[in-house]
Amino acid sequence: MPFPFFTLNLNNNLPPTVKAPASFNETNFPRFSLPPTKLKRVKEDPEPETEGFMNLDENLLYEVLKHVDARTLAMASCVSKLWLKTARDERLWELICTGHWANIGCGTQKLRYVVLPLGGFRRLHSRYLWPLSKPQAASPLPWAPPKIINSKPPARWGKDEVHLFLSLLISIQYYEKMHFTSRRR
Amino acid sequence: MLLSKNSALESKDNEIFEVEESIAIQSELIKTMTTMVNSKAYVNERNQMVPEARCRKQANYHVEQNNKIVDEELSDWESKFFEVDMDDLHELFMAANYLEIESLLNGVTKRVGDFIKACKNVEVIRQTFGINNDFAAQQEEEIRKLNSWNHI
Repeated sequence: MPFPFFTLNLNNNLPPTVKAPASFNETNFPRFSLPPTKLKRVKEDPEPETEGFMNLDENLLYEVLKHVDARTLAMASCVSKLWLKTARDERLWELICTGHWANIGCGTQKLRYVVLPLGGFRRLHSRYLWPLSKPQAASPLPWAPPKIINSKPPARWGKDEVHLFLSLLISIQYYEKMHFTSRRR
Repeated sequence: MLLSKNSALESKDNEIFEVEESIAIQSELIKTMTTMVNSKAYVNERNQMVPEARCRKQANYHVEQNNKIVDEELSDWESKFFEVDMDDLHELFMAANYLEIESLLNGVTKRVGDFIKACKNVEVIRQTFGINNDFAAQQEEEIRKLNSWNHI
């Protein structure tokens, strides 16, 4: 499948513009939380507080939000500050994004190395996966996606589609940096 | 490890549950406790936990049933088991979290997730879960804008 932009080869070395960090920690990717640690236990004497049924703290809320879909996750971030913080977790959006495709063609960690420096999974989803997964986009994007994919996107995306989206993501970033001020959200 | 096949677990309000060891160790918490100590009596003493005896009952019930039922029937049974109201669900949640029982936790979080999915908008979520809106008006506006891709 010929791509209009450069082909992203995730199997060999990473593209020259992306540096893979030696260790995966918060300083490298400020928006990415550390890998899931052991579930924190509720305090020893939890008296059920009078406000609210579900006194969910961050970890419990995270566990719950693992099971929701993209639309609900976005809604959840509007509820309260705690929910906003939890719903923005990259791991949750990673689950949603990778749920779309059957075979990426590379390991999870490699995918992270590429996606995270370029804005993360949440951005990937909201900007590119979501609008392109709707057959007729109600609000047109500032640029027209190349008509390589059929008007009805496949239910489970294969390696090629994933590579396309990732290469789009990289090139859009570069494109935006070239002072195209007409592109305003 | 415990010598007998049944372990007696005591909850904080002094109710004692007899459960089979194989079921009891589905809870990660109990598992670590039993590997740390040797005698059964000591384990009893140490188990000063969970304020609600009911939590443990339900948690134990869940894991017991899990062990008995074959896979095909399991999903039916599970969906029935979790069709409870918010208060019960909350108790189950706390029990699953404290005792660290993965299967129970999965079931409960899935159900809560379904609850959230069923909410039409943010206000309904707040009402269902009794959450206060702690955003300033401007912040809220910004966030809604950011998520406007969602409202197609």
